[in-house]
Amino acid sequence: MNGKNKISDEMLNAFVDGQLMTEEKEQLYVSLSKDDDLKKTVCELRSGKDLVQLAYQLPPESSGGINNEGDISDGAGARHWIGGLAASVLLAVGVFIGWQLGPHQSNELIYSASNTHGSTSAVADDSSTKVLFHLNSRNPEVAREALNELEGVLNFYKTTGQKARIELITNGGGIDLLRADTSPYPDRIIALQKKYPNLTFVTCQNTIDRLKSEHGITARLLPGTVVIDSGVAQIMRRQREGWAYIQV
Amino acid sequence: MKKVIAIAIAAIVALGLNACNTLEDGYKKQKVVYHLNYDNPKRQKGMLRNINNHIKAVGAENLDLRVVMHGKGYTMLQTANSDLDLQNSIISLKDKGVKFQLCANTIRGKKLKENEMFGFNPTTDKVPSGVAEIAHLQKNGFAYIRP
Repeated sequence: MNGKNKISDEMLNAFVDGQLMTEEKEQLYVSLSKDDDLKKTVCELRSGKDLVQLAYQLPPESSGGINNEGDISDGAGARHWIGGLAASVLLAVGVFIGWQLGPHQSNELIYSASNTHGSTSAVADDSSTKVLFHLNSRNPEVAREALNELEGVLNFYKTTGQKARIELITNGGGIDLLRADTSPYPDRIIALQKKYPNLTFVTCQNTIDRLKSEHGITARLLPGTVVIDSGVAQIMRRQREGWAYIQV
Repeated sequence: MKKVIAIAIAAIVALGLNACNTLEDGYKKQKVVYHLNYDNPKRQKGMLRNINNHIKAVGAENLDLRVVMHGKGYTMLQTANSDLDLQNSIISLKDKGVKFQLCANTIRGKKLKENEMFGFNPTTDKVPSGVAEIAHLQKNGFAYIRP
């Protein structure tokens, strides 16, 4: 990371791990849209994270996290020790900040901490229901139905007290729903994100690139939209991670 | 590291054996959820044909097959009231053990009349949320198909 932007590595990592609050994500998206180097870094972090998750999934009953890390990093023994220490210090700082910020904020910190745990441990440990919606149509009527279904199921899990994570992945024509200048329902999308922190809107870098190369359009995305490398690859990853898949 | 390799090899061997068994015995038991949320009658009938062929290939006794309808999917049950072909397809699939389930949120949201849905039994054919039902079924090993 070079000094020309104000985004720290910690913030990028938190972003890739899905730990940022909506406002922070918005801020980061503004920076991302202006900075190609930053985009690349995020992309690299993401693929690194996926590799680590794959490695963790392979040996479900190994004797502990440190051994796993050792296998990945070719046994640089001292490094995990320092890494472990750094993680403990970070955790202590996090707990302290959480405590300082009062009950509301600390709940959010605890929520994201448990999220992180879920994403790095074996899939079976995670009790929350995870549902991936897939939209590849630019038809506003289909998009409206998709938002209705999203809201319906979010509300269902909320009222029945079940933990859930919901993601809407858009590719092809589906991206129009998340483009600031084409979205038929921008206000509703922003309101949904505010109401449900467990909902993420995602679009595909390949689709963004194709808009640019084939139509000369630079996609301006609604705040909070997460960009991943490939929609299809994301659908495969998510299903492998135990997410249910629903096409709208 | 050795332990990891051993587990990986065991997994590969187990997978290999499994694949062989499947080839020898034909398809084993399958759990499948078909997702219906569109109102195009041709496409709906196409889905019922797919299901019928699926049952022929796997055998009704080997299948736990559900059709979950939400969004605009309910229109199939409305159309069936005045479409004899559609009625026969639905009845014949039900005889082979297929369960047709309709989302309670949709019934409420679109203010549908349950007695206007062909062959619909509110006590056995209603699920609280179509989407949550599909997610639940996938979590329990059901394959997802949306033709």
